[in-house]
Amino acid sequence: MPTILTVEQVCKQFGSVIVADDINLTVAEGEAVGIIGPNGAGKTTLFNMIAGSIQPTSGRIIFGYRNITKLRPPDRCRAGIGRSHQIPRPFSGISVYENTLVGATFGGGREGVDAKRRCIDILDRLGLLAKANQLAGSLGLLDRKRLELARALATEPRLLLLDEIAGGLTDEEVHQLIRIVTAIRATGVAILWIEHIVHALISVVDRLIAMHVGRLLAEGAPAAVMANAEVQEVYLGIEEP
Amino acid sequence: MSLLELENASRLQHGVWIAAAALLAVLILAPWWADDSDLRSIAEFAYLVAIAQMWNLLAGYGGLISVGQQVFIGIGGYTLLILSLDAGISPFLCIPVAGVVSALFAVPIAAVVFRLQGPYFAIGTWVVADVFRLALDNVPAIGGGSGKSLTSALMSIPGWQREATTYWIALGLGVGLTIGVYLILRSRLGLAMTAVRDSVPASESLGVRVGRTKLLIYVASALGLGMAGALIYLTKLRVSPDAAFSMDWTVLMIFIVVIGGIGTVEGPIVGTAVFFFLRAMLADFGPWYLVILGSVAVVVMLKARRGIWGWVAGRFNFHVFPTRRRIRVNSLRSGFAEMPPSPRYLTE
Ligand SMILES: Nc1ncnc2c1ncn2[C@@H]1O[C@H](COP(=O)(O)OP(=O)(O)OP(=O)(O)O)[C@@H](O)[C@H]1O
Ligand SMILES: [Mg+2]
Repeated sequence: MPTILTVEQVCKQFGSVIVADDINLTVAEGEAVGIIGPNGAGKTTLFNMIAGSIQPTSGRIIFGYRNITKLRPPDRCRAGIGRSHQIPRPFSGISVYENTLVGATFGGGREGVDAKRRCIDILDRLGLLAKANQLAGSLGLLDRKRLELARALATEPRLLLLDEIAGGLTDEEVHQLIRIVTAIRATGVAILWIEHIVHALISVVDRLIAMHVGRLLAEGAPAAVMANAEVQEVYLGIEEP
Repeated sequence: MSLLELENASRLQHGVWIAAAALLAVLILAPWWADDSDLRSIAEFAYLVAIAQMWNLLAGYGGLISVGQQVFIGIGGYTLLILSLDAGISPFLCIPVAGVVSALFAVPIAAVVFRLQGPYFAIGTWVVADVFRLALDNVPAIGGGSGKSLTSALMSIPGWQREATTYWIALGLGVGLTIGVYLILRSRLGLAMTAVRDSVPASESLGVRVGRTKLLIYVASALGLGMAGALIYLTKLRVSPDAAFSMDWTVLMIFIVVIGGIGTVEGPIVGTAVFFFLRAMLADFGPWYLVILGSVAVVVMLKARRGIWGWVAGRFNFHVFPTRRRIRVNSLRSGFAEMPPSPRYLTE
């Protein structure tokens, strides 16, 4: 499988704090990769650098065959990187449908009826269609997280970055989410998924990456990574039973 | 909401549109039935709606709270002054040109003030406006601090023609900019604007070019204000830095928009009506007039944060200018019928 994303020797410092320390990773087209790591490990920061909202101190990020390190976030989105934010950021003054339409129009480059159909289809898949005309600001947490996902999907990404979309959900809701992510995968979209709920991750991803204080601790088949001694050490007492 | 309510609302909406079109026709004919003082009042009403729309576009939809928008009124006024007196161009023709000049100035001004965030942005816009005021104080060729009269540029135009044309332009700006704002809101740019207003990081990660979007709104607002500024000083016949670059203009825009309903197309019209009403009622109160206006604004901000029209629209779910993009029940059904069957992940 050709590589879709290459993160090459990426470092990031906030003042004297190092949050990314020589990170190297690749994602193949259509592959699903999980990222785990304790709070403050630098997972969201890594996403921010891939999506472009934070510039790395050094290193390169390559998407497809293109060096995107200097690209602004909207241009990375248009190039095919979609993301959901860990803390949902709905456009609260407009409707759920209009929120999705922003993604379809600007990220997806669709217009008119075409954009509308695409949004309706996605909202339907995510179970948000009944609330399409509701103001996004009136949604509860579960729906806000779904909306994050819906909007990101509307941009028609080739790589989807999911940041803790299962946190705070009930078991039943987590199961729904797993089905949704599995279905997205089946359409050929590559996925990088940060999640603390490891069993949810493992049921979807091919490969797992463990991070700790800005470094990649282990990488490989989910079972092997979870069995890794270092991972167990930092992860013990953090993983939910 | 039931279908019946929806039908009633749209019937009411059509009714309002027909009434508005009839009113517009009557107003266009006003130079033949109204006296000069009535004409001036209607023109003032129209240009206040116009400038309030421009502030509303910027703040209510773009989330850019500027207190320095008078800079573009001033630029419009001075473009009129310079072009009509010194270059001998027809004052009426100066109005669109003033809009363009003002829009051109908006680009470098944006480059400065957009570096600032939140309250600093607001203060920055005011500082820029004051820099213009102080600079023009020191240009004797165009009147310096005391300004200059436009009368000589207008002498060649017969009285009735001058009054009527000025009036029609004012009316055109009030109606035109209101419709313009409405069309922008229904467009791609409108969608981008509201997204940027609600969350910059989310907009960026959904492909919205935030800087460009803000710049476009800022320039659009400057275009409208430049034209309005030229028109305003065509009615006032004298341009001076202290008046043209006065913060009072922006205070007035903010008052009208906040009272009428920020973030609604109807708001500036309602707000201007309230302002006219209060000003007429309080004509005898002298300085108390401003105190009462301010108090009204504070009460509205505390009791009805979305202004009078925001309250009406929320209470009765009624819009003369509907800007929300809705999916309707019937369009949904036809949408489904035409769409290729999609896997329904959530249906068991
Ligand atoms: N803009 C910033 N300025 C300074 N420090 C930051 C900034 N963003 C993140 N950090 C720090 O970088 C470290 C990594 O943060 P990050 O959000 O990437 O962690 P995370 O792995 O996503 O954690 P969590 O599981 O809690 O979401 C933390 O110590 C955080 O305080
Ligand atoms: Mg995080």
